[in-house]
Amino acid sequence: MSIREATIAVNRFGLGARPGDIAKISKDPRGWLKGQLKPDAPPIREFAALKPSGETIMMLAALRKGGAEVRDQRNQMQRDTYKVEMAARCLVAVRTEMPFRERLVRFWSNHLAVSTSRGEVRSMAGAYEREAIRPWVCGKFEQMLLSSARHPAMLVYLDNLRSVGPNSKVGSKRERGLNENYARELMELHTLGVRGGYSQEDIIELAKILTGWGIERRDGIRVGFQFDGARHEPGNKTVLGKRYREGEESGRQVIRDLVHHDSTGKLLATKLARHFIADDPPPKAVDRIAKAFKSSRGDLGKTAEALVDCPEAWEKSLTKLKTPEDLVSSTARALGYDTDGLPNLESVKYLGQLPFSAPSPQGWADRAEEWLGPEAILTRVEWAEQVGMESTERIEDPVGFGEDILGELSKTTRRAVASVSKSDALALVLASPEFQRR
Amino acid sequence: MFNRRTLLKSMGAGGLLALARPEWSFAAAPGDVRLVVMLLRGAVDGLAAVPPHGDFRYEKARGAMALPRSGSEGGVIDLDGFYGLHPSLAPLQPLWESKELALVHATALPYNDRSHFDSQDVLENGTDRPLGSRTGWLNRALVGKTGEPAMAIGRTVPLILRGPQKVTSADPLRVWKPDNALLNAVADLYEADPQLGPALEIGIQTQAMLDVHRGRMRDAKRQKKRDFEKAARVLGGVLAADDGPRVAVVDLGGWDTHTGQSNGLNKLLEGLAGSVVGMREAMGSTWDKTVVLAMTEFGRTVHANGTAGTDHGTASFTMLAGGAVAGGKVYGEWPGLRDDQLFEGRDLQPTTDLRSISKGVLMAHLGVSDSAIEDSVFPDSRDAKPMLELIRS
Repeated sequence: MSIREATIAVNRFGLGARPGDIAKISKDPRGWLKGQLKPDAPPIREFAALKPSGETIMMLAALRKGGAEVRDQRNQMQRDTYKVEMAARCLVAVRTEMPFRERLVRFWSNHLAVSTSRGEVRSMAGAYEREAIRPWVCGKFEQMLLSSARHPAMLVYLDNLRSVGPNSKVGSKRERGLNENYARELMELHTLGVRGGYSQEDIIELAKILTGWGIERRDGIRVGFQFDGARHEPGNKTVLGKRYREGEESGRQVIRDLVHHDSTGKLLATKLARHFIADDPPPKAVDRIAKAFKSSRGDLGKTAEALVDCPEAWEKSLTKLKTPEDLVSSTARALGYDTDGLPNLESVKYLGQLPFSAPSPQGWADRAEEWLGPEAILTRVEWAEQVGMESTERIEDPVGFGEDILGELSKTTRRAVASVSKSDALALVLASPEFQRR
Repeated sequence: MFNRRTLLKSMGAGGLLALARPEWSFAAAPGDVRLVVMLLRGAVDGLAAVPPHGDFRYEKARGAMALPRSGSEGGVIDLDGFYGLHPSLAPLQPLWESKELALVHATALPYNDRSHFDSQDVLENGTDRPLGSRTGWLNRALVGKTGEPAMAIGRTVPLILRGPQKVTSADPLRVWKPDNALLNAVADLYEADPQLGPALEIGIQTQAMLDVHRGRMRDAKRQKKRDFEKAARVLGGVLAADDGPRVAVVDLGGWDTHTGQSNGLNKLLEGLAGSVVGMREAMGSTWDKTVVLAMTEFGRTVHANGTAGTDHGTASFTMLAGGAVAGGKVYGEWPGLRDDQLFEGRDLQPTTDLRSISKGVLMAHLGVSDSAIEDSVFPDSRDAKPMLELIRS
């Protein structure tokens, strides 16, 4: 029995303890984590009423033409879709019985980030995570990457939708051509990593291979992925020394080859170890995870198991500063909030991490110094104060509460929490160095 | 050091004003100058911002993205017969006339691999390679200087300002109402915490300093402008105050214009110009001793891509504004737009190392010593000669 390991499992690998969680899993924390890594998971009730991206796109397309009124309607619809999606996403984070799996969903959707900085992405971001990321989170990375590449949200966000082979039928007739944005980030951010061994020429060739990847139009309305040969650059292409033939299949092939390149396993292992072990990931852990990725041919469930098996993951407690999103979900779980009260989308926004609004395709940063500004810390303290005030009726004994969700409180925290009003005591538990970390 | 409990107890309505912090007095500050570094993240199309309309290859090279000729509707604003300003930068024209605006064209970092993330890292870390340092050149340049900590605008501190020297961050538009008893207790909890402790302590000091500017914040918030333009106005006032910071960093992102770039770019350039003009208005006579240095991680392709935008390129432009700038001039050697003059056949060829500009500003404006520059601020950069001439003597 290990309270310390159970605390790490629930708070660092999971999304934060609910009262009683740590005791409940303390017999076998690692088994509890691994039990969440089956390839398939039951459907999620909170998502039942959400629309598939195709349907949203059709509704938006119907509001395409018209004056200011129609445009306002369209914007309103995008905002509403985003809100409904994000509310469901928040609820899942609070209610899930598989918080490690949920954290992995968020990790991978941040790895293959889309952002609402592109207006059209706003109504598709939630669906992107549900459709392209979630199904493969314990499956094959190749399928996840392919789903991401083909999803309308990614096609729009990194411009591949608009990229046209300059010598294709459409390209030569309308003087349109390549846009290398997606091809570059596909290699730099999603697979090989920035010094993973590709050149500017490889980027251009990859962009050519991916021309024609677009969204199907039905009655002039876009609904789902479609390969359009009229936009595809004719001829063979060469990426990283390998030749690819013309056609849709070459895109699948090149994505498969990128996934199984050694640089990709290293990049993914480093990012996983940084997220789950420490800002500066121990090289031994990175090696172990990269090996598992390689030997399983990119099976993300097996890769996550290797992460759990890293001894380095269990050596030190509280190595990671929570991001604002972590802070909000762990607070909501600890205090038993559900659809009510402060820990919600507004809170995440206030603390500086509105979902799917990362400043660049690199996604949200995963090192403490990126979240640590004086203004950021003041905002966290202020938020803890508000939550403390609103939560006094939920908790009888703040010290007992703190020990329950954190395994233990430091002497300093315990003394401070014990000596103030209940509202301040709760705020102190939430603001404490141990709750600000995982 | 001051006693934190005493500090916090003195806070409250009006209490912040009464703080005596003799050890942070500005009498000790070396010179009474101001520096604002604006980081234009996403890679600005320098050929759009500062078009070389006098180059006879300009219109052909830019194709449909070439701006209408100077004098026509929405055309280039001519500066010196060869270079011009994008029409959305029109608010900066008076600064050019009064020699408070200088531009450097074809600037680039010693890193040319067209990755935003690596290049921004080099832009901020001050070495010649990505991940070359975990601290920023601006922070290292301030080591040993006294005075109010340099301020990053926003929640967090970007790499350029991270390092051994104490710095702060603040959102100039957020009005803060602290519960002092609780803050006291949290500060005690953070006392031994190497990350949270210093962040909270400096944050509280910064809020105390900002307290006199609350009225300015409320005024700014009422104006019909973009948030960062409002923030720039408040920042101008804060910088002009006797006890304000001397150095600030502003992030202005969104310049990654791969598709249909003209609309987005127009708005961004308007915002950039609006921020500079707003800061100038708010600063009053302090503007005379100010340099605003705006830089980006790289430029964009000379020719349009297939989607009326531009892809990642190499050289771009750098802008300096302020009363302390030797302005009314476009510095740097023009590399030309002929195909064989382009970098790797596609990008504007760099002719000025961005570090030469930063070094010139640090030395001639902030008085950073040559040895500090070469030893720690921009290590191994002897080949990038400091452009001291950018600062008015």
